[in-house]
Formats: sequence, structure tokens, C-alpha cells
Amino acid sequence: MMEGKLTLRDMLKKVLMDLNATGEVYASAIVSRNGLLMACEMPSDIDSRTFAAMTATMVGAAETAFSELKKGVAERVIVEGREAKIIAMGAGKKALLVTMSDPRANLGLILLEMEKASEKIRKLLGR
Amino acid sequence: MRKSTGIPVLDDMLRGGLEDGSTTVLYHTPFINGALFAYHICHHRLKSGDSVIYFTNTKRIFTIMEDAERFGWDMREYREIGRLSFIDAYTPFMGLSGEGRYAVSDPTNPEEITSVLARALEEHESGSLLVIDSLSTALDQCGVEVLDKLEDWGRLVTLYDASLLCVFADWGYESQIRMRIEDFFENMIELTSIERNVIIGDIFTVRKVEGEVVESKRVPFKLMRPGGVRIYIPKILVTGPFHAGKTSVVHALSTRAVSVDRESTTVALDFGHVEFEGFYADLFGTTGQQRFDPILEQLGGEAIAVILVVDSTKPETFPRAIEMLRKARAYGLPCIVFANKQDLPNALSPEEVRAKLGFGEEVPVVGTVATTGEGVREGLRILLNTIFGG
Ligand SMILES: Nc1nc2c(ncn2[C@@H]2O[C@H](COP(=O)(O)OP(=O)(O)O)[C@@H](O)[C@H]2O)c(=O)[nH]1
Ligand SMILES: [Mg+2]
Repeated sequence: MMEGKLTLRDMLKKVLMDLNATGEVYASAIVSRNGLLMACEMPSDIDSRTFAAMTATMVGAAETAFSELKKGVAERVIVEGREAKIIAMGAGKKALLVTMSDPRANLGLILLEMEKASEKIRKLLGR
Repeated sequence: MRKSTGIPVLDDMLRGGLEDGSTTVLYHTPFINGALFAYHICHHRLKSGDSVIYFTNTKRIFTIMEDAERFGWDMREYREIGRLSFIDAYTPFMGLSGEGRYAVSDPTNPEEITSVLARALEEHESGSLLVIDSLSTALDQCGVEVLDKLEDWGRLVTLYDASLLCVFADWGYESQIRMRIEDFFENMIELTSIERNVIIGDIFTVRKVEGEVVESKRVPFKLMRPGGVRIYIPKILVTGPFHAGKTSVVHALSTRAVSVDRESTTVALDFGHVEFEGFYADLFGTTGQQRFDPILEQLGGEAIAVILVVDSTKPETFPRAIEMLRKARAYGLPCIVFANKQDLPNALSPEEVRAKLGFGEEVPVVGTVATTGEGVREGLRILLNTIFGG
């Protein structure tokens, strides 16, 4: 009696899996703007919930700083390290999409894939 | 005799646990692994000295042993001394010979299942737990006739003072089937996923106790490896004025915590995981400084409960404490006040702190010394009790 019914959680996971499968990123997560983890596809050695809380805080702080400049809204936050690159962007009003990739990965391609994924997430969340 | 399930709030909802001679269904959506929930109860019963008879028609025995091991439970020893026995109705279905102490050679035959259950119960001491994993698969394999056997299974557990726990995955059966299940079992535990705002989480609830239909709360849980079933609180906000001791509280309570500190003050967030008496919570400690209020407002969202930390020697900061609760939109959530720095000579007593904050009796206030950890666990216990108790 198995049915092909997918839950919202399965759907969000699938979006992340598809994103990781593009080969541009090796880990990704959907995080509420309030810092709670909604879904993730990450190596198990990363404490995903701590990561979620911290990225949401980072994006919140960046958005606040940016809005003080009165130059529109912050579109995304990019953090470049020697061993990884973290990119966070909005995915609808309540969620953020965050990815981790190799520092040498192509930023343009990652952003393109992330835009597509974040649009899907926005629609899936219905907001 | 009632026996604990090993899952704190669930025991209370079941009025103490599962009684010998009782029948319980663990009814779950297919998107949750209900059997893992049952493992927790099995392991707890084995640890408390009972025997467990485990009927499987969904997976091989070694898979169950491995899954249990991932929770940190070594079941081999119990198997060796004969307190854990398997009834294998899985490999025979695949056309292989059975692997457990007992086997059902034709898993599509409800008569045979019943007679093997009877033999297993006869050969174990009374007071054991009989798990059927799963009744829904038996239903798929045998057809509805297997439900006619439930009465017999119920009689058997009465006779042997055992308790029956049937795992049932609802793949979308006809409503008559659900009704029969609801009718038959004395206790019904339901596992489902819910979406609260944007967060999707698993919850358990109890629909029936001792044959009585009940309304009970929905308790969020997580399966932790190791650990098993943990009641899960995704966000407890720890807030309060600058220098009150919030970071110290988060670190005193957490098994693992990280802070974003600059010049020894928190600039963004303290984040910690707490494991505590079957509960698991994530703590979000905010910064106290006014200039970071936009972050406070953002992080307050979706909190389940609040710990308000104040410096008991500085009543002049209390208005700020109230303002922070309001900014975090945390007013009205279950809340406890930590009247911190009780070790300092001029500290106000918890009662004085309550009065100065203008809170009524409904808000508990505990005296704490965050740097030594004194009072903080007691405070957390009171808060958890406010969320889930009564
Ligand atoms: N005497 C005493 N000092 C404390 C206590 N709790 C925290 N402190 C100290 O107060 C200062 C501020 O603590 P911190 O946890 O960083 O406060 P926060 O700004 O609210 O995060 C630190 O120097 C702590 O060591 C306490 O219970 N007693
Ligand atoms: Mg601090």
C-alpha cells in the first residue's frame, strides 16, 4: 500500500539534494530566519543546528548593517575562507538557503543554482 | 503493574506507563520510523530487568540489532541470556529459513502467527513486553483476518501478564481499519509530523489510555543517536540585560555550546545544546546591549519558552529586562526568571526580584549562581515542567 506521497520535509530535502548534485556545492541547508533548521544535506561532522543558528544571526546582522546604509536590501551574504565558501540568501520571507562549497568553485554558477533552488523553496513554503 | 516506557512525558500521559496485560498501538505516519520509537521502550524494559519478545515481519534481525547499536544500545547480551527473543516472520517471507529463536514459516497465516506468539509467551517469564513490528505489514500480508486475531493476542497477554505493543504504519488504509484499531487497543500512542510556522517536526501524542479516549498535548521529539527518543524543544530563549549572566547560563546548562564573543561580551548569539533527563533543547542566548536589539527581535521568533536572566544586585536593570522580553516577542510564553549572582552579598532574594519585576506568582523565579551552575538545572526542570507538565 506504499504511496508516492511526499511530505513537505521530503520535498525540501529533494531540492537540497538536487542542488548538491549539481556539483557546485557540497553541503546545503534551509534555515528559518529565526535560526531554526528546517532541512539539511550536510556531512555528519557538521553540527547542523549550530550552523543554522549562526548563519541566521550572520544574515540578520548583515541585513541590519546594510539597511543602515539606505542602499536597498542585502541580497546575499558570502563568507570566503581558505577552505570553504559559505553563501546565504533569502528563500521567501521566512527562510534562508545556505550552501557550503569549495573556495575555488565558480561563484557565478553557484549563485545561479542557488537562485533556482531558492525560488523553488519559496514556492514550496507558500510564501 | 505499570512499567515506565523510559520516555518522560509519555509516561505521565499514559498514567505511569504500560500496564501488564494491556494492549497498546504505536500508530504512525509512514514518514516516521515508528519501530525506532518501540526500540527505546524495548531497551528500557530490558534494562529494567524485563524480557522482550520481538516479532518482525519488516526487517532482518541483524538490522534491528544494528539500529539499536546506533542508539548506543548493545542488545546482544540480553539475547544471549534469553531475555530478548526474536520471532522472525521476515526471512521466511523472502523464502529463506527463519533466523530468530522463533520463526513463522508462513507469515501470511494469522493462525500460525498466533500460535508462535503463544509459544513465545509461554517460554518467557511473566511481565514481558511483546512487540509486533508491524501490524500494518501483517495486515498487508494476511489480509484483514489478522485483525480478527487481535482479541486472541489480547487474551494471551492477559494470561501471561505481558504487555502488547503493536507498531502500525498508516499507509492510507480505509477508515474502517483505523476504526477497528482505535477500538481494539486500550492505549493508543500516535506519531505524526506537524508544521509549526515554517518548522517541521515530529510529535507524539496519546489518543487513548486504559480504553478511554483522551485529548492530550502534542510533544515534539527527536531520535538522537546515541540516546533514542528525546523530547525536543527547538528553541529556548535565554535573554536579559547586559552582564546579567546569560552566556554563563547557556554554558552551565549545555553539553556543547558556542558563543560569538568580542571583548568578553556576546555580540551575536550564544548557542547550546542541553541534554537533560530525557529532554533535548537548543538554547539561544541573546546579547543584552541595546544596539543589538534588531538581532534580538529576529532571534526571538519561534521560541517555545524563555529564561530571563537578571543580575540580582542590579534592580535598576529590571525595566530593561522587561523591555527585552517584549522586543523578543516572548511575552506570554512559558517563562522562568533566573535571579542570578545570588553569591554576591547585596543580592536581592528571588522573592524581592519577582516583586521588583512586577511579576505574579505564575512566573517562577529561582535563585542562581551561573558561574558555579548552582540552581540552573533546577530552574530548567521547573521550566520544562511548566511547558509539558499538568
Ligand atoms: N559573582 C557572580 N558572577 C557572575 C555570575 N554569573 C555571571 N557572572 C559574571 O558576570 C559577568 C557577565 O557574565 P556573562 O555570562 O558574560 O553575562 P551576559 O552579558 O549576560 O552574557 C562575567 O564576568 C561572569 O563571570 C554569578 O552568578 N555570580
Ligand atoms: Mg553574553
